[in-house]
Amino acid sequence: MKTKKDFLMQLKHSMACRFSLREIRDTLEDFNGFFEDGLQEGKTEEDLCLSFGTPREIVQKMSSEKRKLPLHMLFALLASAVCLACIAGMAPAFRFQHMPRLFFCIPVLAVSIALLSLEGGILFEMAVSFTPSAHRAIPLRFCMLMLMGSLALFSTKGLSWIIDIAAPASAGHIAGNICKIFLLCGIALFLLGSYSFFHGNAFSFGTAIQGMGILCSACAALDFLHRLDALPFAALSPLLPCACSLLLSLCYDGMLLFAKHAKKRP
Amino acid sequence: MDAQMKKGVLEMCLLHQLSECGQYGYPLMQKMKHYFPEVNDSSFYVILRRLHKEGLTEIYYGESSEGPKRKYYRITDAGKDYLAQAISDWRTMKSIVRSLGIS
Repeated sequence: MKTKKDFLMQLKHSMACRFSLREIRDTLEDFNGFFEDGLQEGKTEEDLCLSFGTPREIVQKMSSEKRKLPLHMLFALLASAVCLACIAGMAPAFRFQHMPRLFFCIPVLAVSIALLSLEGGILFEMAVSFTPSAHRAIPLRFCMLMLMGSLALFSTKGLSWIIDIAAPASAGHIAGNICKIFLLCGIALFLLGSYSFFHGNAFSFGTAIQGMGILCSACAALDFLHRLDALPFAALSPLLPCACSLLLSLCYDGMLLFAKHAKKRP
Repeated sequence: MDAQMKKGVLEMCLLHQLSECGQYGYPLMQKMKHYFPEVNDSSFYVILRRLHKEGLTEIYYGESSEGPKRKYYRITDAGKDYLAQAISDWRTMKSIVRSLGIS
């Protein structure tokens, strides 16, 4: 490792998964500062790298002092488990139609509220000061989507046929199959985003929750298509929560991007 | 020096440095390295981080002439108590060792 960039990158990769995003960011900031100070004194990046030791050693020393699993890892694990439970709950084997829907949705709502309150203080501070800090915005967006998505699942019925992907496409059901494709894309995005998130990439979690949003919207759209012969208002009702959640998520993304640009302008 | 002994002593020395005045990370590490040349810079960083996590030090941001705000460390009341205890333990150990005949 000869340059500051290599050092910091290796430090980030060594810390990923074992430390929370906040700790990783703080440590990277600290070492960036040390490099700056050292360079000001006239030392070279190579000297500084040598004097700090390898990033792996540093992370080993820090890890030996850790006592508990970082909150973000727990959060991600919990969120993934909840989503899988939602998807599993749609399977015909669970006889979803016979179960009172409340028994299914109340845990989902409870988990979302719990996760929201865990990060509540930070989110409030963020909302008031409006600093675009990606890894802080993520729990808020995710919980909003989970809340809305569970409402949508709650209001739609007959979801077991969604799992029946192998059904042949007939002319009248092309729209239904397009929705199923979106559903698969949503699942894929969610899994991809979660996988990347476990490797310490904050922005990929945004992808995961967008995937979740698409998934929920596709579910609602599929159900909507089945109600086309019903009254238009009744047919539209499941779409509304999901459309709102997607819209909220996109608005939030837009605001973050806007604030980021506004900050960069000198 | 034995690793365990070193750990406790380094903590005490770092806290003592901070008790005199608040400093930012880099010159603090450099000063400690002057007294403990065989210890790695990153070991000091890890100790500093631990002290902060346990509430023995606190961070404040100070103005710097150029560039972004610098992160300064200073000792807290809890840190002062811990330091006083550590120094008293150290003195006790010194007197015990001396009374054993090791000068």
